[in-house]
Amino acid sequence: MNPPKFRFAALSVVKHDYVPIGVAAHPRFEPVVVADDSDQPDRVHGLNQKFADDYKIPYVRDVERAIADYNVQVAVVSSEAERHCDLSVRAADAGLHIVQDKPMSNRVSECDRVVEAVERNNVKFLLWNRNYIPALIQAKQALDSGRIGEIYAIHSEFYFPKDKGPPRDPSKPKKPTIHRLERQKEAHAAGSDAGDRPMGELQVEGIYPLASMRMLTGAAVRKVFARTTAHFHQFCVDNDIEDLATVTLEMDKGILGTLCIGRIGAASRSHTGEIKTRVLGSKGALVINESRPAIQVYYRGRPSSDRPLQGVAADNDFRLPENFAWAIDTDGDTILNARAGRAICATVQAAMDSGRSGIPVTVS
Amino acid sequence: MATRLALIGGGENAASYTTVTPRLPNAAFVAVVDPQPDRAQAAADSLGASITANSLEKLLERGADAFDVVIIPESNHARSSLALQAAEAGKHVLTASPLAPSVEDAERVVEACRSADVRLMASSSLRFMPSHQAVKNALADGKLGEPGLLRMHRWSQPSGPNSANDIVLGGAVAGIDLAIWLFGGSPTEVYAVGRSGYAQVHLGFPDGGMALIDEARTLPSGDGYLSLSLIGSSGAAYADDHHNRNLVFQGGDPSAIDTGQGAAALTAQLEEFVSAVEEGREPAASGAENCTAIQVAEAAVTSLQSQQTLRLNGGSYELA
Repeated sequence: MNPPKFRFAALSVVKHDYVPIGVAAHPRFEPVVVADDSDQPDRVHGLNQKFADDYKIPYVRDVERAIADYNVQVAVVSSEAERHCDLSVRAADAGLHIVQDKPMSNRVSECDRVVEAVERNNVKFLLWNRNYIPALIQAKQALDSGRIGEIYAIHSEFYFPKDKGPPRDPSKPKKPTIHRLERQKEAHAAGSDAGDRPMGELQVEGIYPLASMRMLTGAAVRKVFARTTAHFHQFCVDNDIEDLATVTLEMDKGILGTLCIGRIGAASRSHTGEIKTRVLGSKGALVINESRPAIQVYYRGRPSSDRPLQGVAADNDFRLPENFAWAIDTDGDTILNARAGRAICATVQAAMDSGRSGIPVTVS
Repeated sequence: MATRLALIGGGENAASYTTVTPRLPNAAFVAVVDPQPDRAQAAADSLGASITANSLEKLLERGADAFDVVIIPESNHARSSLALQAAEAGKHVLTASPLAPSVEDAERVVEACRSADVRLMASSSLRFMPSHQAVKNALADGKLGEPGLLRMHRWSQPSGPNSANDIVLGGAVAGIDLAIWLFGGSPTEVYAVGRSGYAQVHLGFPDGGMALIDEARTLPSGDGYLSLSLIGSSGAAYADDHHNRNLVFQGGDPSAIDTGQGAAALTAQLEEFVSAVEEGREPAASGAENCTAIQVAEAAVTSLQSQQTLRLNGGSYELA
């Protein structure tokens, strides 16, 4: 007998439609409704309607009514970052299990609300991540086998080769922050986060390397020292946010680490970049290129926009909902639950505080 | 006339120079110093040198006029006293980095060389590796824009004293020197953490520049690992060991082997020093530059002990 399907409501599809698409592609999940709050701008309603049309399901401009009327067990949240947690709390209070887009939030206090609601309602929560990338799974297996002994250091380099508007121009006077809604339109069209207040690269992408480091080591970050700067993009200069950061991590079990993260611009990397993790252990070391496997395609007349290196590992988007279904079936834990997501958000916040103050900061 | 070189230390140290010698048209080894006479003689034979001695002192007594340059390797832990001895005898000094275990000692050597009007180079081969020279050239040519982030990993086997302090004041000085060289000035902020066999140094440079250098001495015997990337405002350079490995299949998981960069780094280092001697100019990787790197390493040790950041203030590093 086939295991039961979970009916899900997509609560806002304004940002990364790959999250609900990924969940919908898994045979255990079925999209039945798209829902959002009625007071959202027309642009948001338009994007939600498009997803509903693509899947031939209704779009309801009332989250609570949609949950009540469509007999759903799961919510998939992919709104703007600042609305993630509120939608997740409402879903949890309605007894739904939740898959939530990254970042968990741009405020630790919002993450705390989710942790409380998820635990009080005894529902499962999965924060979208990259931990099932084949190279990371392979690394995890190698580490678990004990081949490099006890881990004592871990390093992640996570360079994102996308632009964020025009390059920094030191000769230009700093301009006031641009209109948030305009920035969101542009960012979401490119699959990026924008936030109700400007978000730097630590907030936008930090979840991914910090989640994989947490998975590989089983250790939480306790203290950070960070350097942050707006090195590449005028947008980041104008909005006082970082597009490049380095973070020293002091973790549980005496593990030391570093994170280098940057939106380094399209000119500085091929494809998604060579995102690397390096692990040192008492008996050896491991160097992992997360962007493998990949192929390279060259041809006469290739435009520079068609990058030759193409990653071909697509397992992650299937294995995340697989893990989520397993957690619901067995009352197990998801690969990145609400508490872990909250801890990562707090690490990011501590790194931002350290970057501003220039001194080490303890993670709250 | 070719510049005449005296090498301190036979054995493996001398062997690394045998492939370099034929590539140096303007220099020749004339003497080898080693406390073991047979090692000194074997090294002299392989390098084409005619003089051997069991100490620098003896060499200076017997043949001070026979050589111009003293080369002091990394394996010799009395580098600063040998450099002082050589400088006082009017010999140019090419020594491994770090020049001395403290800034104070290093500055004494720099001053001795200045007073004697002899050239002083203090460098690891890191600066002279073809890959790092190519990164520097890309930066100098403006291809990368302003340097933003230098990331360097250097891992090897345990050797000698292996505390985090030892590592920072030893091998990590070369990485710090490389960062200063690429950023073109001293860091303004220093933070470090470490443990036995391992240290990581976090540097902040003016205008938001940053560098992270980790040095591990815990790998099992065999190969080492070196990786460097430099992210600039308009481009990036990756001198990454991961790309430069070949695979060996022998049952089980394949092994990755490093093809290396040959003797090019050592050759370039010697060529630069010999040219500086001939031209009477300051060499690249000068003693003064090495003093700066040692000063940063000392700040990193203070950070390790205090768990605090240090900031550059009027030429010295102070707790933030």
